[in-house]
Amino acid sequence: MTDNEIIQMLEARRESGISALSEQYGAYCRQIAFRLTGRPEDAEEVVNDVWLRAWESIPPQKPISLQHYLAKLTRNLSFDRIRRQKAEKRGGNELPLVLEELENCLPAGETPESSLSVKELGSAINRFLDTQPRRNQDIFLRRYFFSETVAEIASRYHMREDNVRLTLSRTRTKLKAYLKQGGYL
Amino acid sequence: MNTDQLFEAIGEVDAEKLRHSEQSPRRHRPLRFVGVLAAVIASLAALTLIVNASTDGAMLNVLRIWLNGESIQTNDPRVQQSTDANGNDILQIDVDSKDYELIAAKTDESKESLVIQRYLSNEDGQMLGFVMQLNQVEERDGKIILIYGGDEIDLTEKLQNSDECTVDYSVYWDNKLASHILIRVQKTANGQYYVFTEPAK
Repeated sequence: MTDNEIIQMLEARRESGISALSEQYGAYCRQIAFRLTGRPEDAEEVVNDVWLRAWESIPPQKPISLQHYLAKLTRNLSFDRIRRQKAEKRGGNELPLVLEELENCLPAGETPESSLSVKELGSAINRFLDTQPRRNQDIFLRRYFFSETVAEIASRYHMREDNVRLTLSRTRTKLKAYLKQGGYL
Repeated sequence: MNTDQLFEAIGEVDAEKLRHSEQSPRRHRPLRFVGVLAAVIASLAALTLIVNASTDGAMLNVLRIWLNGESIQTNDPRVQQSTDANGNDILQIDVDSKDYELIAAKTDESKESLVIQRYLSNEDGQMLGFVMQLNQVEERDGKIILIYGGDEIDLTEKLQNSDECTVDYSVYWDNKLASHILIRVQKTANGQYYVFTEPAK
């Protein structure tokens, strides 16, 4: 079944669209949710929430890439769930490490809440990534969007883990400089 | 700005970038797979692989388990199969050593897609995570080609008189040997190829 067919089912308010989503993207979304939450039962609940959110948002949304629309929903809902549970210190999930690394992109010390919208900041990060070599973009997103472990990334790209860490560290430093230069920090 | 906002903002990245990241470093579009979530609970004495049924009831068939390089069939006496109260299929494998690497390969019911999950533990028996890989073998112009790490490896000769072969695959990075992998390719009775990878000894 194609993405367009699934979207048409959702637009026609046919509940079989949810089954189609689950069949086509269930494993994919569970994998993302499991990485972030670290618990199969949390991942399962997040994925159920993703189907509900997709049902509520399509229509009016008509995603160009259904897969990545679902990936974003999964990531956001996993994040919300962990934040809600205040479970950052719980072992097994990758999120605390990812957040700790991202802290390096920010100035040291207290950082006041910014009035900058997430969308504006997201656009800036998009523009920054456009300036980076494709491989570095890919590695950055594997780590900070999909929350893959350094070991997983190293295996995928046949790199040493040290090299992955170094690449990520350099990209974070450049992102920090870019955001600072653009007045975002 | 704080890290939460930064994390959320990264979620706004273009779908095209995400697609590229997901498909890299493969040259070919990866197979899409339908499947289940697998979770592993490990203890010092025993390793339990829990296979959860997906919501639509489809169940993956565990095809082969590699444990520290040894191939274990699911009917091996060390493997116990059961079902828990929630209907999840459970495979329990007794492990003598606390150091292990487990690779479980599974197919969906249609046998059209293959998921290889690799579980690693540290010396205390704690899980370090798993790596999912999709690999591909193509029959093209009378040749059997393995596509791995962006390379195409001709297996025609190796598979001429056998249904199984191995390939030593070395990866160089900055002209230095970065990793050395043993790839096992197995041809099934229905003409499909399963690809297993493990660190070469």
